[in-house]
Amino acid sequence: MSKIEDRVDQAASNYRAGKPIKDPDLQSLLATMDVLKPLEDVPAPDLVRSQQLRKAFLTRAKETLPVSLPEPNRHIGWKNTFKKERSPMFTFARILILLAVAFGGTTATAFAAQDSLPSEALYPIKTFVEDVRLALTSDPEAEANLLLRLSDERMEEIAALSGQGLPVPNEVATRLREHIDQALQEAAKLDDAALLQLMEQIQVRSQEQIKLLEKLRENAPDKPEEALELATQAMNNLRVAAEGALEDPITFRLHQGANRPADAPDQSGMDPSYENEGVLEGPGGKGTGRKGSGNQDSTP
Amino acid sequence: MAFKEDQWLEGARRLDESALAAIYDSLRPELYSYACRLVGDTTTAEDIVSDTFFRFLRALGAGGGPKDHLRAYLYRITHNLAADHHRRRDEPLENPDLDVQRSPSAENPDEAVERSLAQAQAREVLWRLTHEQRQVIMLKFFQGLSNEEIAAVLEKPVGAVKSLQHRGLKSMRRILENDFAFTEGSL
Repeated sequence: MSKIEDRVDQAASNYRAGKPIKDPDLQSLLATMDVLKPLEDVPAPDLVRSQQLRKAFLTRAKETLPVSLPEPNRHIGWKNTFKKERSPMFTFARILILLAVAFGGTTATAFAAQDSLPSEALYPIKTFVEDVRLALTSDPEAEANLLLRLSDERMEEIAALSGQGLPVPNEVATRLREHIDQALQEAAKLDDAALLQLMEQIQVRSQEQIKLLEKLRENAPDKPEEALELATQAMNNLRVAAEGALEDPITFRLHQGANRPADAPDQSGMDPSYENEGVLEGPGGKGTGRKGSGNQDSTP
Repeated sequence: MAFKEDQWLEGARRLDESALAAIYDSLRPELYSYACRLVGDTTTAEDIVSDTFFRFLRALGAGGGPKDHLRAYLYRITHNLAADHHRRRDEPLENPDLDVQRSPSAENPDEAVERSLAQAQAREVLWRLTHEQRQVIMLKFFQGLSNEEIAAVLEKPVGAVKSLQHRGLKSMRRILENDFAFTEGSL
């Protein structure tokens, strides 16, 4: 620590104690605190309400029973659900990626980076490799699947960091949201059959991820929640978009800025039988989450 | 307070009612003043503190909660909840909440408005600092915590607290000079 920080600390102590600060620079710096002086006085809380809140706390305390902490789940769902076929292009891409990362290190480094967390030094390599893989994927279905696997990867990172009591950087949630936004845009380019199949899987998976995020927030109430909140928002958007797409693929495509594929079948008499599938039930019961395409308003 | 905190925490982990009541009664007032200074509204501040204690309970019930530094842990939750509230609030900051300005003494209405505006401005400056700078400034200058106690809240070394204090003060000065047209003499 530099000397100036000790001097500022000493000056701050003097300021708090009402003692004079001799150094004019420090005096000027501490004078900025005068702007916050209006916050010194705090009005007393409502006594009746305070008593009610105290009583509510103690009542809840009596009702709270210690329970054993559940084992954290490792979320690998999308890794299997969205497993894509290994095309020759994919193999080619892998070779290119390995060559690309070789500029900055060894092949082993690139592989080691794949399990790294945002708090670790190898993490930028991991995201770089992901970006290269995305750049080399041109088929919309493959790209949507890859983006959803990457969003699953972000969720794993969030769960791992939270589990270790480490702060989750907002960048992870931002990247998650980007993956989701791009995945939806790519999904909008698919034909109806592929789109509906993908959206059914997304709907179920996004609900699981939202529950996981809720659990993480409950287990670590003392950690800043912005990243978890952003991630929850992104997952909610994904769920709502999937529900919207299942209800009305055309509007979904318009919303995502994609035109309906020319070879897509006529939907005017489309049988909405998918509504009867159990996987589509939302937390509020069958079909509740899908009522109204107004949901589209919150789609990114 | 550390020894007492350890005892409280031991009781809290067993969900012992008297320990939880002692924690609530001892720490609620300072958490309330902290929340109130951050959000500028007594009802919201009370809600935040109440939520802080409920979350603490939930964490205990789930086998979690703090291993030590109970007070620091509760300060962290309170600050995070206040930050959440601040992020979500729709009202512009220029619209000061008159609740805080209510004074027990019959204050002149003009003075009350002036004080209210000064408080709103102070909070605006405060919320322009980073999450950690704001915590250090508030905990040090208003809540009276020592550097060691603040270090426990931030889960950082004391040296980092001093750095944050220095940077926080410099940021405040820069904000005041650039955006509030404060000059050297007026500070």
